[in-house]
Amino acid sequence: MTSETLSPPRSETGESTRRPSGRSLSTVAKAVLLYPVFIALSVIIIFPLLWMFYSSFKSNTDIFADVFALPKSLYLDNYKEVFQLAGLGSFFKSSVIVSLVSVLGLLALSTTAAYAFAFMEFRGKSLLFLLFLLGLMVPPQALIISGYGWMSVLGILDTYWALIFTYFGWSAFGILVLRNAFEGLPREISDSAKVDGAGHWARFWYIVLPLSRPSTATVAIFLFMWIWNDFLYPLVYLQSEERYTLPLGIMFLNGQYAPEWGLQMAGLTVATAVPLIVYYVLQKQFVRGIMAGALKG
Amino acid sequence: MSANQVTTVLPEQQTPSSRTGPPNHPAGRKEGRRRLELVAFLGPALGFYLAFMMVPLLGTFLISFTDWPGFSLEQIDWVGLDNFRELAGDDVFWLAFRHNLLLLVGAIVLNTGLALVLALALDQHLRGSSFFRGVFLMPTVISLVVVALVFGLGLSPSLGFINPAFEALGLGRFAGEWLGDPDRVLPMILLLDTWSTFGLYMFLLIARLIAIPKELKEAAAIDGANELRTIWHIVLPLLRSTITMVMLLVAINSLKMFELVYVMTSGGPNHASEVIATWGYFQGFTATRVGYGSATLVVLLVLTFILATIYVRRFRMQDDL
Amino acid sequence: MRLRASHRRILSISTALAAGAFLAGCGLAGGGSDAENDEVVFWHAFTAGAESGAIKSILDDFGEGQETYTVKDRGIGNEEHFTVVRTGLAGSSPPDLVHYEGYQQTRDFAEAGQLLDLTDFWEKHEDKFILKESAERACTYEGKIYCIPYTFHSGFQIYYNAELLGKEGIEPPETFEEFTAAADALDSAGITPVSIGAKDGWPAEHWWMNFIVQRCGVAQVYDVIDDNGAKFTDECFLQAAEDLAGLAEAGYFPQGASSDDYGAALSVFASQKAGFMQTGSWYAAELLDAPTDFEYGIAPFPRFEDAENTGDITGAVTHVFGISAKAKNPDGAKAVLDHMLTEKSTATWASAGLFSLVEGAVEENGPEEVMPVWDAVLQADASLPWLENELPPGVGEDAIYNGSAALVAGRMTPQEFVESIQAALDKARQG
Repeated sequence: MTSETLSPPRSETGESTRRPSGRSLSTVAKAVLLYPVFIALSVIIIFPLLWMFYSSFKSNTDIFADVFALPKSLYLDNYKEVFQLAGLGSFFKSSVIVSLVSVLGLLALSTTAAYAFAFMEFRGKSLLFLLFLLGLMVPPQALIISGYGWMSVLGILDTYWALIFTYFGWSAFGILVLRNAFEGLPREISDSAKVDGAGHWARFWYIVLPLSRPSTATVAIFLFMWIWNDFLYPLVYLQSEERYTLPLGIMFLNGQYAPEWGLQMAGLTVATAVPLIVYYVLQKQFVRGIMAGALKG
Repeated sequence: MSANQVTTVLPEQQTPSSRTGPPNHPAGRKEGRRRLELVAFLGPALGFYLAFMMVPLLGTFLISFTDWPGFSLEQIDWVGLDNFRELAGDDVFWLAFRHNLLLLVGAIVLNTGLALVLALALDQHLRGSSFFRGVFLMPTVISLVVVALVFGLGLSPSLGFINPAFEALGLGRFAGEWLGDPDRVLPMILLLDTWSTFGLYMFLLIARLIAIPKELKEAAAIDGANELRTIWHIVLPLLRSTITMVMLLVAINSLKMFELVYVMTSGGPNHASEVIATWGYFQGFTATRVGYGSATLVVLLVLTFILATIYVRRFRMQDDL
Repeated sequence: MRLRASHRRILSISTALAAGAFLAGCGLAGGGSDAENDEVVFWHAFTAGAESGAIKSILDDFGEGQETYTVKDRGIGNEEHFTVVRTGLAGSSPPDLVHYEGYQQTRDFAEAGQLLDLTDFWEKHEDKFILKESAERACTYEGKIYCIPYTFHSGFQIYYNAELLGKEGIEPPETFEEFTAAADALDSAGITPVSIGAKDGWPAEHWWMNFIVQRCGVAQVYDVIDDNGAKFTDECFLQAAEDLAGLAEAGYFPQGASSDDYGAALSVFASQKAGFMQTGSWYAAELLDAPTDFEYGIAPFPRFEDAENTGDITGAVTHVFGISAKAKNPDGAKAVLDHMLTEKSTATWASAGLFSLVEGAVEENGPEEVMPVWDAVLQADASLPWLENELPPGVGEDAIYNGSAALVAGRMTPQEFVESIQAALDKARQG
């Protein structure tokens, strides 16, 4: 659909692509066309989250009374209760440990494996790749029962290792995405390394990784989100409260027979804040990636 | 752009024979080092993958041939293919199967389309692009518990905002029951799935777009091509492999869709939004038929694998396949 | 260590597949948690509200009263509790003491050899209990007692908004005919008569059950469950389904009743948008824990003037405690159970509005708001447990839940409804 809508201002583009120094007609046309779409989508996305945020400042009764009204006054008891929740600190600690170790480990595992798939030749490569793809298709809930038995055989039930090792098995996503990214790198660059006589490690570390930073950051962001928000595996693999991760801990806030919406909103707001912060930190990698691309390009 | 263009061999090994895998002739020191490097790069990921993905998966495969209430291992009865035979005559399974196919087609069109259009639009570097990029990512960042809570209430006919919003816009006749309406629940699940996942796919595309050297686009522009033509002739071909990959991811994630349906409707009303994964979960966990539930999930996995393999071969995601 | 042999089999298969180097480094030591002998691991679902406060105070009291044992308790939210308990009991480090729902769950766990036989313990305490028949049914498998029943939840009551009713000059109804008259009056005053969120099925099922006990009686339901010649397609079950469908047709339920869940229904009632709501006695405890800002009332469920059966109610033992067969500390678990059955503990439980099964506890400590319901429980001839606790999940949590929601939404006729349930039951029996 973009093809029809964007065609009129074609004649100007030849000059304007240099840098957006002179505001060309095309930029204006794009703005007129795209901003409404961006804004409409943003509303659909932000409103529900905003609602969760301001509802966390309402008492349960106020939420019951009018679910979508703004809070009449700043009701802080939900947050007080969340922060007084026995063990919130330790839930946080568990989540941070598990997520960080898992994501860093997964990044190491999947960048190296993706490199092997992209730049090394070996027998059975395509079969092995399909085998990894299979892991991407496994519904996590299909592995709960046998996974639990396996962890118990390994004697790591109720430890962080049960989660971390399980997540280490989820390398398929990173491998697929990063292989694609590595193979998309400009050929001259990898060739120039070849001419320099650099070995695989050097090429991996000094050339391939820095150049594919946007993709690696993307993979890191999403792995972090998934692991941070994962509920199923911690629920079954962890038993001691002091090792609970945040999503499990927040479950304490939900009543057995009556919804504690206000409390839940506050808990979820706290839990959601972390992945958002992580994203904004990692997004710098993105920007840097853009600049790196610009320099090379 | 394809794999074999980039595929290089080690500098020390530029003899033609080195391309044909582990050779039969006596492996020299170089060959040894090559293998060592391969093991170092691929071994760790493969080890963890086998130990923590394939082993439990094998367990699930074995369980799918049993009748097992899931309480103690002594109760396991080997029943061969019985579960699969029963599945063939299970109406709910076939209903779920149909829903999965509908959602699959819907997700590929809607999710990939939205992600691609937005990725290209954000690549125009309009002012505020990075802000919008951050906003578009948000749904993917938050937990599905939030989605369930927010949209569960939002779509509620008695409390929610969707119906009042329709009425305010003069579209009152479209107001309805949404999640409780058998005709609307599946499209609603598709929309919610798109809402909560398109950010991932958009980001994958953006990450690839960023890596396209500017000079390529500029060169095209100097040749007098307008931006749409540049996108069509330069950008899209470069994105092709990533789009192919994104579509594969969309398809896989759509087929194994579970959490969203589970938290929004548990497959209801009356199985109108049942998918294979939720049905397998219901059988395995709620109905304490772990064998049958595992068989259901195994069928889903095999189905996904077959479709994915066909797709990968058809679109030559790897030239060596 | 019953699991050893099979585990070894899995292990041998797995080691063959898994990367040997990794496993060697990891060590294959068995045994999960390193619980000490004096630690009692207790899993329960009391995560919030009245129950969570009461169980905490009971356990604190236990800790202060003796020094031999320390309780390490873990609360798991309702939805996930069963999944976790089931996996936990099957694993190598199960909890010592475990809370679950009784009935079919007792039979499943006991059949799998996962629960300790508590017959002796029960006989020691038996005399303290009331409603003994229900209590034993919840915990019995093949003549032995495997758990200690703790709480009874009644389903046979209706909550009403006293202010809304008062404004319209409506008296709390005692008969069903008075109830429908009240609902009509509310309806014409523009107030939603009855709040219900039937999306998950069970809230509508509970209505149906309250009609069943009156139209059929508990004995006939058990004739269906035990396959003694009765069927769900019998006239009285159909009549009860027609009663429920009739309420929906009369427009007493809010629009989209089958799209909203239980939480939304509570919200509608608690925000004074509906006159009545039917749900279990657990809500009474919630209301005491977090009071509404309007006056509410709880009345026994209104009975039909022409009902066949006038003595039966719905309700069941809903909290039972079992001890894992592989408990590391069964004595400690028994000590905790002993403590939970003391007068002080049951008083704490009852004063939170929860119906303790220990004689006298509710009478002496129960808040006045819940007493009419409790009196009705004590006067009842028999009580019908939640059908899903007594029927296979394919019947209870599939056919009945889905059918009840469809019935309320008008997408199924009463005839189709009872037929679908009977068909599911027949199918479950074949399999």
